[in-house]
Amino acid sequence: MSEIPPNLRLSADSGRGPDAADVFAILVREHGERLLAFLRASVPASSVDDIFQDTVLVAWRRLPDYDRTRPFGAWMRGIARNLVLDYRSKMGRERPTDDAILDGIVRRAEAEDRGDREEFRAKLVRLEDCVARLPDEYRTVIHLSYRLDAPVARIAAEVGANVEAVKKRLQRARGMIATCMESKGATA
Amino acid sequence: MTNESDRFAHEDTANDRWIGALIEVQLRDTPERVDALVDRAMVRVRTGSATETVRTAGSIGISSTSAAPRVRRWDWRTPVAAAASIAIIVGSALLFSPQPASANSILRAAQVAESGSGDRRYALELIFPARAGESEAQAPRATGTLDIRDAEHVRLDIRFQDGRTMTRGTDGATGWTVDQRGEVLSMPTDARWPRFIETPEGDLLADRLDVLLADVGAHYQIVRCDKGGAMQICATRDDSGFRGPETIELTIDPDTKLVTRAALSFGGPAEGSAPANRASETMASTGSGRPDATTARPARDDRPGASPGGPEGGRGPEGGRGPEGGRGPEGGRGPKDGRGPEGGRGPKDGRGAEDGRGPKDGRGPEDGRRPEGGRGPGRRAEPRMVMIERSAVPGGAFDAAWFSPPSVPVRQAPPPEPGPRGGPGGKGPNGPGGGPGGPGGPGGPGGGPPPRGDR
Repeated sequence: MSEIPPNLRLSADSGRGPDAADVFAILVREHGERLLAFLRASVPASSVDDIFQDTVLVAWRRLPDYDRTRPFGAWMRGIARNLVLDYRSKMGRERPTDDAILDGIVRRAEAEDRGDREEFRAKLVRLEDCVARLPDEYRTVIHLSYRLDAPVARIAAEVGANVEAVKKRLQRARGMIATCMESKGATA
Repeated sequence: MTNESDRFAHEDTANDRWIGALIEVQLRDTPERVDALVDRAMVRVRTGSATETVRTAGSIGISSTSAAPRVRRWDWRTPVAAAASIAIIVGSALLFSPQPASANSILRAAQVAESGSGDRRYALELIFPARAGESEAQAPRATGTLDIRDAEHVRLDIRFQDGRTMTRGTDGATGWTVDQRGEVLSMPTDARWPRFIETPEGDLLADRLDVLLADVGAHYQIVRCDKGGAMQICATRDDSGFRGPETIELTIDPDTKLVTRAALSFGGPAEGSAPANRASETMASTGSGRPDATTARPARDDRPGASPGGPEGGRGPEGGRGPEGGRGPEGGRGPKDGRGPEGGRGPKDGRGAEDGRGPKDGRGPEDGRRPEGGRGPGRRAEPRMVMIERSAVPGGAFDAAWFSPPSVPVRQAPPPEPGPRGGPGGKGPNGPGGGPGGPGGPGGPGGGPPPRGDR
C-alpha cells in the first residue's frame, strides 16, 4: 500500500516545492531510524551520517522513479545499499564476503518494514531491557563499548581480560541480546 | 569451509552486526537526532544542492562533485519558499505551545530563519590559546568582520593584536587577498577559507548558518540556557565522529529566530556557558577516569568485518587529524593562527594518508595542532574560541565594489600545496618561510573502522 497520499505530487522535477519536499521529509523521518540501523550495521560509524545524507539526496533526485505502490523504506534502503557497495568499493574492501553479509543485513532490515517507526522504537526499548538483563560481565563490556565508545584494548585493560576474550565476550553479549529479543517476540 | 557453513557464518555475522547496530541506534539515534539529520539533508534538498554531497569526518566521496566551488552557488528563492511554509508550521507550534519552547524547536525555527539571504555583517572575535604562564585573560585575540552578500560575495577582515591584518574577499569573479605589504594578490574563488569560519563540511560558516544549525541538531546535545533574559541554546558535541566545535552557544532573537550571536569553542566549554556534558556523566558512571570518549575516540576494531592489516586502509573515526596549517620557522610568519592569508592547509578534513596510522587513537594532536615543540616560537594555534555576532550593515547594504579587490591584483597568491599529511606550511605574508606541514593526520589502522564487531 502506498505511504504517499494520492493527492500529493511527489516529483522532484515537476512537483518540487514545499508540498513535495515536506511529504518526502515526513517519509524519510518515518524510516530514519531503520535506515540508520541498516547503515550502522553496514559501514563504520564515522560514515553513517554521510551515507544517510547521500541516501536522502539521491532518493530525492530519483523520486520520479519511485513506484509508490512499493514500500518507501525498502526503496530508500535499496539506494542506501548501493551507496554502501559504492563506499566499500572505494575503500577497497573485499566484495564477495561483504555482499553475503550485506544481504543478511538487508534481510533483517526488511523484517522491520512490517512495522512503523513507533514499533521500531518500542523494539529498541525491549533491546535496552535485554541489555539490562545481561550478566554483569557482559553488560559491562557492552556498556564500555557502546555507551563509552571504548576500544577493545581499553576495555580489556578495564576488565582485566585479554583483547580476544573481550571480543568474544562482546559477541556473546550480542548473541544473548538477540536471544532475549526473540523471546520477547521481537525478532532480531 | 563449505558453502553451507559459509552461509551460516555470514548469517551469524549479519545477525551480530544487526544487533550491534540496534544497540547503537538505541543509544545514539534519538528521535531528535534523527529529525535533525533529516532536517539537515532536507536543507540540501531545498537549497537545490542535492547533486552535491556534503562530507563530514571519516567519509569518502560517493557522489561528490569535487570540482564544485567550495563556496557554493545556490538559489536562495527555493529555500525561502520552503522556509516560509515551514516557518508557519514551526511558528504555529511555538505560538500555541503552552510550554516554553524547547531547545529543539527553537533550533529548528532558527534553522528556517537562517536559510534566507541578503547582505550581512558578522563581527568576529577570535581567542587563541594562552601561552604557558599566561592567564586566559591574556590570551591573544583578534577581531574582525565577515561581510556576506551571498556565497559568491564574501569579504573577511581580521586584525591581530600585533597589528597584522588579514584581508580576503571574493566577488564571484575574482578571489583576492591583501598581503602584509599591502599588495593585492589574486587567488582562486573557491580557495578555502580559514577553518574557523567554515563548517566542517566546507561551507562558509556565517553564510550557511542554517547548515551549522542542522549540524548542531544532529551532532550535539542541546539545552536551553537562557541568560540575562536572552534566548540561548547551549550545545555540546556528543558525536565523536563529527569534526566541529566542541561546544556552541547560540543566542537567538526571540522574535525573528535569527541567530544574533554564536560562540564556538574548540577546546573546552565556552566562556560563561554551562552546557550539558555527557562525557563527564559517563566517566562518572564507571569511575574509569578515562579521557572523554567524545574527543579521544580511537579507531574501533571490534566490529565484524574488521580485518586488521586488510586492504581497506581505514581511518580512525575522527580521521587522523594533523595541524591544518603548517607553521613556519622564524622569518616566515603568518598570522597568529599560523597560516597565511589562505592558510596552507592539508586535505579538506585535515587527514593524513588513509593508510597511515597515528599513535594510539589514530589522530594527530587532539585539536589538530602540532605539539608545542613543532612550531616556531610565538606561533599561535587555531582559535580556541570564535565569537560571531551579527551586526548592522553600514548603510543597509554593501557597495558592489566592497567585495571586489581594492586594486588589480599584482600577482597570484601562492597556492597551498596539499601535502599527503597535514598539508604544507602556510606561507606567511611577510615572506616565504612557511613551515612544513604538520605531522598530519595519521589514518586509522589497516582494516579500517568497520561496522561494530570485534575491533
